[in-house]
Amino acid sequence: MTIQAYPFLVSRNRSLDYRTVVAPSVFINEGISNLLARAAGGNLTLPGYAIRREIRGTTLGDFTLVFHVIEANQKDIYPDTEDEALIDPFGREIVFIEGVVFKGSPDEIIVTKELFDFIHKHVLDSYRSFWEDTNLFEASVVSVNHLELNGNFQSGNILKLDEAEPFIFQRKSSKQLSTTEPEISDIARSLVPEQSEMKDIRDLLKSLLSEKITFLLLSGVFGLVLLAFLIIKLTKLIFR
Amino acid sequence: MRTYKVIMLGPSGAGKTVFLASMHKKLSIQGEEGFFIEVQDPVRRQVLENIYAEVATGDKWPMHTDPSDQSKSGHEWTFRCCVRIEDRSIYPACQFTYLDYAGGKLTDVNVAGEDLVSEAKTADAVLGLLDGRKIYSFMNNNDDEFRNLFLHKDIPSIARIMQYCEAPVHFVISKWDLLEGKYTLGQIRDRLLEILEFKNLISQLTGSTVRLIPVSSVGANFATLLPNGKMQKHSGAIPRPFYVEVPLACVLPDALVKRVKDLKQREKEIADMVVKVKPRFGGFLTVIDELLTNTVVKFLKDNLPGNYQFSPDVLNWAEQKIQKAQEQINQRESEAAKITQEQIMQRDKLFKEIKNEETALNYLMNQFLTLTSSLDTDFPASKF
Repeated sequence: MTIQAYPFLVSRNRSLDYRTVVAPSVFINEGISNLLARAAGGNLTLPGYAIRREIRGTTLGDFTLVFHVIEANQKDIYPDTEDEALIDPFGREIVFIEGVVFKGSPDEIIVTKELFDFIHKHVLDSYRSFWEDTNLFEASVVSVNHLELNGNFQSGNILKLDEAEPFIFQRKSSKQLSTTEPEISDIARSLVPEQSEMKDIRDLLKSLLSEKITFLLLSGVFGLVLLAFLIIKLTKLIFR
Repeated sequence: MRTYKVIMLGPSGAGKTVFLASMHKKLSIQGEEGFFIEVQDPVRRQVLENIYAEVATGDKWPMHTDPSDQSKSGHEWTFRCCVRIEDRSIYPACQFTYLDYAGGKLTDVNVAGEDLVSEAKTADAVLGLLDGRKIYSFMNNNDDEFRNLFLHKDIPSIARIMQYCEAPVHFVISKWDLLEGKYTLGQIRDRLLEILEFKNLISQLTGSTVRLIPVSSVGANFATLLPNGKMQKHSGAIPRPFYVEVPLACVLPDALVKRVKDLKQREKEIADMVVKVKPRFGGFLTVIDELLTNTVVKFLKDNLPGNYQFSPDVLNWAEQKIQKAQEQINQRESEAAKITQEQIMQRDKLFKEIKNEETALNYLMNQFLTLTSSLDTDFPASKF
């Protein structure tokens, strides 16, 4: 049986934090390649294991990721160097989150160490270019086409799959994406007190006025009592 | 339980998670700060303890914060502040939730960071972590890579989000052990103000308390910066976290001052409205106006949200704090020293009064004020 799968890679370079480096061409065309960096991650994967995670609800339908998290090695970049972990400028070991994307949610997925070795080699050139890229802000994602996974990739050292919770895709609205400038409607809204603020102001005025009215009423009662007292006193004086 | 939200904004590698692990380590047992913090979820607590253990032992530094959304709660750390009194009873007082995102969310294009603005808008305080290693390069003018990242990426990215904030802003300079003894906080502050984005941001944040707080998650003499840029740990050295408790202590006092200030501003606006309509109603409103003399504390008590309801003493303190700022008293050091003395005197009194969450919070607030006062005294340049 032959099954289609797209390789992918998530990693970082010296100035850019973890992001999608290699992604299926269909993801890039749809503008959703970043979801791989959001859906794939975690701690280093134990040897002999891989992680399976479903992605649900993208505009292209559902997908399944099978990946592992491994330490990047200096040899991956500079083959003649020593066998040491590749580190970022802060002395932290860099990891590769690499694997394959399957369309839909296949019932049975068989992945082998040999397949992952193949994928590792497949994405390394793209990673080297990314590593040497000195742009401080962005780097383009490398597009890949699908692989035909046939019997060759399904025999060998079969990896055990750890199932992660499905990732539910939610595309951010254009309003959520705008972080640089507030919209005109936002500015207009900020000039007009919100309902809750109006309510607060009304409550505040009400409480202030009710206190004053209570005070005036008490003063009035006190005045009446005083008046009655004076009348009684006056009456006593008149009839004495 | 009152919960206050703090959002952490900092580039990759600034040390956000290590700072939290170090703060947790330092405050996990009640010491001279007079309170302790706990992470209730044992799994999450273990994660922080593991990160700190990686910092304190071995040659390596902890891994990056996982940028994937495997679990939303993975980015949230809730610390419950508790007080243990003489009879060994423990009283929780309040809790702080820190949102710790992978640095790339803040700085990189194409990395989902759109939720940072909305989180920052609703936070009780915003903590901007400035990488001390990069500041060192910036002050020295010696490492173009770090200097460029700091000037052209970190500061503009932080400023872009912070300009939407209304809450107090605390710039925390991490890795202070690299800078201590070489530069004063005042010198660093002056250089930072030469950066246009930073200077503009500070002038935008006039309504809120803005602080510059030096911290070191490992303290002095734990690691050395090698010529190749790596930080090498000293064999057998024990980390001595420096000032990691101070940013947490500043959250509540500064947030309260901000709330009171906003409320007083609103009160003033309402009073102005009353004055404006006065001629129409003549004498009646004059009488009313004269009667609008609630005591400040009562006014605050009636109008502050539940999360910011404190004892009259604390509210009085906040009120005085604003008055002092308005009068622009320039005797910060002596004032801070005086306040500290008063707070120490009050500490025992409040400690003895602890019998529930409310009284524990009043005591805790006093402890926070003591810590913020020491920051003002030790680092007069810390407040903008």
